[in-house]
Amino acid sequence: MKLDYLKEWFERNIEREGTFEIGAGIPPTPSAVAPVSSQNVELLDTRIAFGQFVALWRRNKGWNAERLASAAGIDPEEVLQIEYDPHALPEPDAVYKLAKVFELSPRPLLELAGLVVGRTPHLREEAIRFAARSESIKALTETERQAFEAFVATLAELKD
Amino acid sequence: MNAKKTMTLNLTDQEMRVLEELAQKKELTKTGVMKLALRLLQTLDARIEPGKKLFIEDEIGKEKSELVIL
Amino acid sequence: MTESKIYLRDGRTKALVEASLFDEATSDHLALWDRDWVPAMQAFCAGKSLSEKPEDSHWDWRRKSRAATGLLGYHTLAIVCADDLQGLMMANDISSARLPQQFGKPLIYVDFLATAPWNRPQIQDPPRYRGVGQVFLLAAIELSMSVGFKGRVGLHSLPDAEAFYENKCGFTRLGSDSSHQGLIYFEITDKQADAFRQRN
Repeated sequence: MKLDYLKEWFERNIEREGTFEIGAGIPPTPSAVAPVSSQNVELLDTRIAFGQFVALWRRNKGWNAERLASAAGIDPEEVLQIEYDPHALPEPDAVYKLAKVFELSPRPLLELAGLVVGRTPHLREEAIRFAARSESIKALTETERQAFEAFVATLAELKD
Repeated sequence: MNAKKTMTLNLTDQEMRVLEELAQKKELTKTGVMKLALRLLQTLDARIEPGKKLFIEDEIGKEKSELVIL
Repeated sequence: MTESKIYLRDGRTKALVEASLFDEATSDHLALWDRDWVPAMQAFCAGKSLSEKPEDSHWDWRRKSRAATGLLGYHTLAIVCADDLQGLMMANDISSARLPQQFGKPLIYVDFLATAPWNRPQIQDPPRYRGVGQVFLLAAIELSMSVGFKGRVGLHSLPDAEAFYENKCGFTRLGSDSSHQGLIYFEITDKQADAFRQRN
């Protein structure tokens, strides 16, 4: 497909863009245009915790994102998106595969990721507590380690 | 990529009638209709996997009916 | 792949500058997206609340492109100027029109359209270049013509661009689409497309 327009066309028409922000397409997550309801805020909370959990799990093992992705059989980008972008909805398949690597039941992880409706009692509270105690994703401090191990214990008790 | 190949298509009377009706309805040539069908079938084939279904949804009534697919 | 000569307007000097439109985005274009757009967007979004971030701030163009690889009905276009990637658009030619006067007729549907972070007034003032949106719409119309769809195009507008499509480009607004997260759906007819192409 070739565009064959004279310079004059562009001269005449580009001005119409003015100061508009030009874009088109479906945003990747419902939260991008939906009103901020309490449900959306809850999803963000637990998804932040999920991302931090994934990051701490692999750091605890001394793995980088690529190594974790390889072990789970998913794209490294998927791991990075889960760890850094709580607004993006993870692929269910990726969460299942990570659960397998973590040797945890997938159900609570799917709830944290916002992929299934939350029904596990106290999971959200536990997740927020964990997230608050393990904010930075640099060296795994003793506080982070304790928080991380306590959260793993909680998740390990939860079955499908 | 730009080299074209020619194919001869034998259609029944009914198939040709359908092709002509679609061409008129979509304001395309008969060749245009066949090419559109090819692109559409390829995308459907790529998207429909075991465990997935294709539905038609009524926007107002929110009723879904399954599109029988290959 | 075909390269077309186009023009963008330099945001500072207001001069028209030569640029290129590619009708098939390559891995080189996506590498530029990764190298330049992603860090610029991340830098802008750092510390901002959800409502302050551009709606497409976490679009993954590599993933979008990968999903469409090999599919005849999907087209990813790129605009390059001064060796930098200025815009990306993905469109398909297997969708149908919804406007009553052309209902069911095939059209080019713009799946995604984005301009580089430095071309957005929200991020950089003055923006480096203007005109990416206009060029892509022209390209969508020409693509529509080339496959026999007479210039018909449809798209869901990101909220900040609705007035642009309706008032500046002559698209018809069909209303909020619940199956696309409430975005407004716009379409143009063959006559509206003709008017866009002439534009006196």
